[in-house]
Amino acid sequence: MALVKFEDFSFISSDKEILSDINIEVDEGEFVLICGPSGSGKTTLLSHLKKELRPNGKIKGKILLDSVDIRDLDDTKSATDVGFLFQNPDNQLVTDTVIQEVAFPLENIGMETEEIRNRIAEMTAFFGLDRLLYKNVNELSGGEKQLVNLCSLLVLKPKLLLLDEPTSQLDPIASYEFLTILRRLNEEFSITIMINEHSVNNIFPFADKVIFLNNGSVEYFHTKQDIIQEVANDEVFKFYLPDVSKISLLLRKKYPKLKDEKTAISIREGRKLLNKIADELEVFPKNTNKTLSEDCPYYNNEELIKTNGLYFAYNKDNIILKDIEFSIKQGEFIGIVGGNGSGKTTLIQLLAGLLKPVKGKIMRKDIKIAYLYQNPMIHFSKETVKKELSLDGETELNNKAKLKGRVGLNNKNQINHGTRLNDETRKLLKFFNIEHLIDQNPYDCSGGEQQKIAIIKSLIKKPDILILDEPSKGLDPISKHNLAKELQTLQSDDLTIVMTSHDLSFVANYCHRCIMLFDGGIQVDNDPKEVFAENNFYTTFVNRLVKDYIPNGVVLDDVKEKWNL
Amino acid sequence: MRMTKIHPIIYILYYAILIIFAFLFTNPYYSLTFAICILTLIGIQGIQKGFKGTIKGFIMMGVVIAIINPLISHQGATRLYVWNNYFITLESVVYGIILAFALILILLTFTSFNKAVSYQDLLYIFSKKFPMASIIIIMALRFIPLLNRRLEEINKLQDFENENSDKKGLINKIKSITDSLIVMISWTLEESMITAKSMKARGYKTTKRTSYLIYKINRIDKIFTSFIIITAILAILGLIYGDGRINIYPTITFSFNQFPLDIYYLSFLFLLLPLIYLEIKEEMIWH
Repeated sequence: MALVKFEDFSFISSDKEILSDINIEVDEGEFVLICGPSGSGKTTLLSHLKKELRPNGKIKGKILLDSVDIRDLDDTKSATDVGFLFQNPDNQLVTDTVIQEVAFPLENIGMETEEIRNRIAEMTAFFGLDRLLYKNVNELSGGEKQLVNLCSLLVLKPKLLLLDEPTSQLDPIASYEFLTILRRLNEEFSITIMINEHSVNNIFPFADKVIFLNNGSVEYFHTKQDIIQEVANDEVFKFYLPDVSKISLLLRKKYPKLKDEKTAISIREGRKLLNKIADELEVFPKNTNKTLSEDCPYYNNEELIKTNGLYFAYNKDNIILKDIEFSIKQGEFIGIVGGNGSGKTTLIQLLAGLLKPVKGKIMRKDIKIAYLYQNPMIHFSKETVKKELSLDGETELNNKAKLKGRVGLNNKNQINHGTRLNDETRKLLKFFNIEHLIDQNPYDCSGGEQQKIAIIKSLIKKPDILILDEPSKGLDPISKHNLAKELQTLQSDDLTIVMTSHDLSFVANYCHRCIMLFDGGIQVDNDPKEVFAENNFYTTFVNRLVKDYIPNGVVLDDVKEKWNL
Repeated sequence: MRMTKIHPIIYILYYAILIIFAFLFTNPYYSLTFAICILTLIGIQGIQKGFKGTIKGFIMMGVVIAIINPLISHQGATRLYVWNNYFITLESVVYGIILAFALILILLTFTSFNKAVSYQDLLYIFSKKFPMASIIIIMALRFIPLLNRRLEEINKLQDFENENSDKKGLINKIKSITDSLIVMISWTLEESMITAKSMKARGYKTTKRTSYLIYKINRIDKIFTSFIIITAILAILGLIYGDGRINIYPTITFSFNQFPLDIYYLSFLFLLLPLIYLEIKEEMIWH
């Protein structure tokens, strides 16, 4: 019998149908992956399964959990049976120490102290959190925080776990660890899992069934094997397939020999598939290590920023950056990668001038630098996007008027001008495709939209260098692709771009120079394709798959080009 | 982590007795004994960075009280004329000094108390009676440093942007400060929506809360309690017989020649020692 059952479920909020005619059944112990562009209703779908989190609006049809309507569940049962994990690891923490956080839900349902301690002991040991029990949650890394959050749900022994993009804020290694735990919970304890995710490479192999959601309705819902065949030619959802499957589909089209083979989903299956046609595949030699100097178009450009023996630390026991020496040239698009805590953010904040180096020097040409935080919310202080983007012009005009002593009739006009956008800004809004947001509150926009508004806000000041911290974080594949294209257009318009990223294929696809930080220093500084071709683990999924055949194949396009797929 | 754990309620009892005694026992020998013991205890418990500043503040406050008391209180028999008809009394000078000293002792006792009893221990006692209030305190404990860190980031960005543009002057500075605050408030409100949801999703307010903290009454607790109760009763008996206190008004009855070495003084001394003994014992394990 199905654990979760949607019966003709529709949800209407402020006259808009957010979810329409959902009919899904999920059995106990299944691992269900939900994909779809942002705004397709993924989060709404999950929140409807949790009584406490149901959004306001009109509901048609019903959702059954264990054949009980969700709306009729009793409070304690709903709290314990269904666990909900949110996207951002920080916001969902309530208390200050790990043990208190894990105990929090158990205390809420009024459990006896002895029993609470038993559950904490059991669960924290399973998660390997027992060493961190008395640590302050603010001192944990993002991955550890998310584990604490998950642990705090599991002490309640839920039947159903709902996860809303749980790894979007984590670096690749932390998110892999997190997913491994999820898989164990699913396999060893048969906990039913429904998860929203954008980065499908890691998670697709674990899933039993996949739901593809678009504009509030279920477009595809099948086991992962079937669904791959179905969406192979879908305009939207082909982007949501793992890279391995994409290559595997292309290969099958070209080689009839593979016709009856299953589509590969994990790297293991993919390599097995490649072995089968190994004689027919062309093998390429590994390029010798070329360095940036040779055919880089920017190599002879003017240096905008040059650092000289840069050191940074907050205290003497923990030096974050050591002896950083490199330069940024006019027109470059640089991606900075590295594990959590390797000092990526610190480095770009030093470059921008938000932080001052403890030792060493940064030479900047007379340039304007724009810096974008990971969390775009920090950039917004006005009620509407329009005001957000027009403010600077207004104050500058007023200031000038005051300085020249022309505070009189003229000034009135200028204030009126203030809330109007100039042509430049309009062009940018159009370019980034967010004109429709102009009267919205920036806080109501999605993460990707906020990102773009913040970028426009910084571009108004006409910077020479745009520095971005994790711009690809939490974006769905299509938005990510669009953002990258937009950034590339800006680059060709003579804007120098520096960004940090955890998303290796994003860097490999769009940056022309990649800097890898390790142990506080620059480990590698080269063309991204070279960097990832050298690595075995810290590299893209495509590269892991085709390494033995095309050592320099890092992104899908490389493989397509080399093998004529 | 400590080896000898004493139930927080007993700590509270003990420190409460100490604080009351700091007021009651005004004999300078007793006060000095108290001061030496409590400073030793603080020393063993570990002096924190800010301690020097705190103790300076305590002493300043003490000096102010010692000066003000004779200026406003004119009780006492021994008049010391200062100017024409205006006089101060020797007794009120002494009383001021003793009062100031007692206050400093109390503040020191609190410092030591903070070291001995963590907020977690306090919450434990609190959460049995007031479960809601205690969870709000716990949330505040996480929130305040978080807000601080956010404001730091926002200010960093604000400084950066102001540096780039040519906005200067007081009005712009005020504007940028309000801007920072607006950003912080809206950001925080936005994020606390999720926190509230996460609390609700984990069954907050479904039933009466319990607590995960657990303390058992051990042998050491019983010994400790009996010890402090016996010594405290003996010391109070001494107080009733006039030991350990000096009369100030109308005239001072105290001479430095009488060192009060008797059973009452000793029990007062012993009352101050058990924590020092336990702390030293704890240290001995590691050396």
